[in-house]
Amino acid sequence: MERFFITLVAVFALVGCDRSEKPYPSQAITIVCPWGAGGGSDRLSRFMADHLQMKLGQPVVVVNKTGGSGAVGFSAGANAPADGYTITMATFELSTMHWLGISKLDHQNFTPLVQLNADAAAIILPKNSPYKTLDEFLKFVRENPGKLRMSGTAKGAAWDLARMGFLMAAGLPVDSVVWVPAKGAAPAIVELLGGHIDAVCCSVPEAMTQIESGELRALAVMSPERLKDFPNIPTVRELGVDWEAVGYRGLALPDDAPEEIVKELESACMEIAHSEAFATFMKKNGFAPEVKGAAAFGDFLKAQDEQWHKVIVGANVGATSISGGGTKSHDPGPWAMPTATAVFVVAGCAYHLARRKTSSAQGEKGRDILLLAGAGIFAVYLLLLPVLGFFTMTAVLCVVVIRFLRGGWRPALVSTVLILASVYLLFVKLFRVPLPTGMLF
Amino acid sequence: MGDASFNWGLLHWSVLLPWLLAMAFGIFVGATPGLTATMAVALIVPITFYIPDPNTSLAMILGVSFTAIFAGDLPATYLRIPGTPASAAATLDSHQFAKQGRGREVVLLDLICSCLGGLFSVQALIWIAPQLARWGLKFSNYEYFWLAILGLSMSAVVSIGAVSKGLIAAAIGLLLATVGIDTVSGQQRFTFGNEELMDGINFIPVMIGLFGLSEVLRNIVQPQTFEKAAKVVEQIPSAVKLWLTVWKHKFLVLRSSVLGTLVGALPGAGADIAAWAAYGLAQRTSKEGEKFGKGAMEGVIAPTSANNAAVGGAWIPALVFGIPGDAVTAIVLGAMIMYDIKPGPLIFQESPQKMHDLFSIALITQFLLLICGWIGIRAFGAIIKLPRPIIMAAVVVFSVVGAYAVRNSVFDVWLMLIFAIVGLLFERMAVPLPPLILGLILGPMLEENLRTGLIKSSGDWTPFFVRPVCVTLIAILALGAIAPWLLNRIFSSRPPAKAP
Repeated sequence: MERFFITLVAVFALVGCDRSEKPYPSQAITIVCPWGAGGGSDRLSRFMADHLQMKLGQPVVVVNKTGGSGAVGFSAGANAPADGYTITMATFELSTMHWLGISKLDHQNFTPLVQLNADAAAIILPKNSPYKTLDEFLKFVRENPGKLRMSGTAKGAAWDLARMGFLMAAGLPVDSVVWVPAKGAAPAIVELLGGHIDAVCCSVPEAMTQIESGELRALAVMSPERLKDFPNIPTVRELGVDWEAVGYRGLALPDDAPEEIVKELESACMEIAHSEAFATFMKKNGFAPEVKGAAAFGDFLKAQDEQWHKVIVGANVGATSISGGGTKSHDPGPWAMPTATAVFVVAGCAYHLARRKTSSAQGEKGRDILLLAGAGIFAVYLLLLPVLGFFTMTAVLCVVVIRFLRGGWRPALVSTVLILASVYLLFVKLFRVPLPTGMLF
Repeated sequence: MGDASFNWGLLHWSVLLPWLLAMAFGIFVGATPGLTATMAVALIVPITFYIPDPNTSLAMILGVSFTAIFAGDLPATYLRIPGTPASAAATLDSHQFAKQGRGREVVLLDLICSCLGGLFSVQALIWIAPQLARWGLKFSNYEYFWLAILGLSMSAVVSIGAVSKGLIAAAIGLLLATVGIDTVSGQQRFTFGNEELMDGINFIPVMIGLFGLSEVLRNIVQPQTFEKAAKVVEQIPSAVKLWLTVWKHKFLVLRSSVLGTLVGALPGAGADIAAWAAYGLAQRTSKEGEKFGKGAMEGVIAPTSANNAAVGGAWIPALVFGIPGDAVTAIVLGAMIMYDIKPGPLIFQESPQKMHDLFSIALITQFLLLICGWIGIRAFGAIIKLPRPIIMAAVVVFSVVGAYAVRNSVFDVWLMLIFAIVGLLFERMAVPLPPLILGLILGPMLEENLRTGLIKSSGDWTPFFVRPVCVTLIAILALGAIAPWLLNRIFSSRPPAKAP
């Protein structure tokens, strides 16, 4: 038996070493996308994955790790081994979330690979809006602070920060415009079309359909130069406001990634980013391509980090201070709803407790112990799951459940193998759902 | 919609083959407890990106969502474990019939009513959506707030049992919904610095826990619930008998389909809520309300018609406002841009042909469901004969996979475990679960629109009460509140339906 284990360890050790022996890439590569399936970042991740797979000859899988406004995905990507097998889709939030207090990570936790796009924010108005020029717009805001209503994203998200920075650069306080939080640019545009708000801050491609049909017009764009596809829209800098704001996407490795792997991936990505297919994809999805190599992307990230730091500190935005800073808001505040519902729940429970007939059922104790045992087994399983891996732990759990319900040993083992084999084939192989692997499997 | 716009090209084998394959996958996921319809769609959407023809992609997605919702009734009937949360209501009466050996009859009825419900909602989509699009731009935060209230008022209907306990459950749901980063102020609430909690409590692991895993735990706690439903000799009903049953309940099917479509169209509430609402309404208006839960045919037909109707209903606000009716449609909405569809009030003017294709796909899906569903019932009948412990183990494994795969997070599996225990405790205290889900789903919509509306109006409450659409919604709410009383007055010969 002892020998068997030594052999086993040796085999695992060999397999482990094997990775470094073979030339990169010798196994499947994962792209961590911090945003959900179907969204813009997800589509770009999947496009890059497909083309990298063709270039590198190894499967490239997209994993959506969402949560915490990107924080969950970024920390998964940053904490992965820097061996080139985990790439992260780096988005705008990487430059802001640590200043907002959502995460401790910033661009220094990553090795930049390639920048893929940069969508400049723009100020979008309905066609019949009274403001014909940016000067008129700013003049109105200066003379009527707190009257104009703008929207585009949630509070503290990309386009809110962009318009804050813009107002600051124009010498206006950030609360001179009321920011109406929205789920994204699309619902904000519908609000604008319905006349419920006065202006939207979002990228030009997001409002392209309505701009082309003449229902909306872009007053000015916050890009360094005029957009290639919209040469008629002036930049805010031309009009005297020294400011630019872009939402970007790119790929990055964890920090301290080996240089030769960075080189190899960078050149593969750059080839893809200069291809015809890339241009078509970007146009279809309404992204403005902005391709930069590793070094230039690194400089860009650094500059972005400083720029947003200034805005977030200057406007006193921050996950903890946001309600204090900014507008004297008419928002009832984030704690009104939890307080109201909590009071209701407590009152309701008190009412029921007061009316309760004291007829607590007998013989429930035995059941409670069984329930605790069942939940306890499951909790142990969950604790060990990330350590030992999904298939090892689930096999154990499966056998335990069947034995617990008084199934025989043989059916327990056979069905465990069959259930896990079907999970493996369907989810891991066909749909590429990456189940936690841990130390074993 | 005339025949001229019907796209016959959809019946080519190059479309039909992936379509049927996707539907078979929908049956599998739907019939597997722990794997939800949302997951089925989330898995199929990235696959469709590889398919060049956008109509084939849409056909696959629609096929999966309708079949998965139907197939969820299979384990609910035979095992008392819903295959998808939308089938939770089927664990009541359908399961009672299965214990009497009438399981086959019930699932075949489910299939027919699912198709009928689906057909109704697709018709509603075709006729109502373009009309609604004209009103689309009039909707703002004030109107959405009342829509959320309307959705929440359903919790009175879906409270099987004491309404006051249902309201507490709804309030707990609303409280849980406030966890995470508040989008209005950007501040964190109840996250305790945990990144996993910043996007709030995802309702899918919650539902898998409440309705799936809790049943396994209950089997562990009370081994006597090991009723051998499948061991009973099954009667195979004749086709004539089935259709006669459907015909007898034609108005119930219609009413449940209308309700299902409406609930599906409410942003946030989907097939799960629709099924409970239809069940609650059927119970409250039935002559034999007391038979519900013990084996009432109306308790079988109402939820199964409504949950498939909700799938079509959810597409109405998705296409018209770009606001998804439920979680499934939310995923599809994100992917639509790949198929060159830009949802919004202008969609019917901008791309009429694409809309006609979508409608044709949705219609054909209902007929394909009849075939796929029948095969699915036969296949499931074979699997169900396996020993109970093995089935329970499979449920546990797939629940873990289902909860984990929502966003590749072990944290969500913990959430599932916690809510499985919560589900058991609630059941013991006779607190209904559906209002909790309703509160959890509609909480953000209620709160964000109330607060955003107040920001917009500079603290003025009047827009909530004077805008025309708001007044209409308030009138509907008031009507709903007095309707039971009114009905009792009109049919005073009938004893008033009382909640048990």
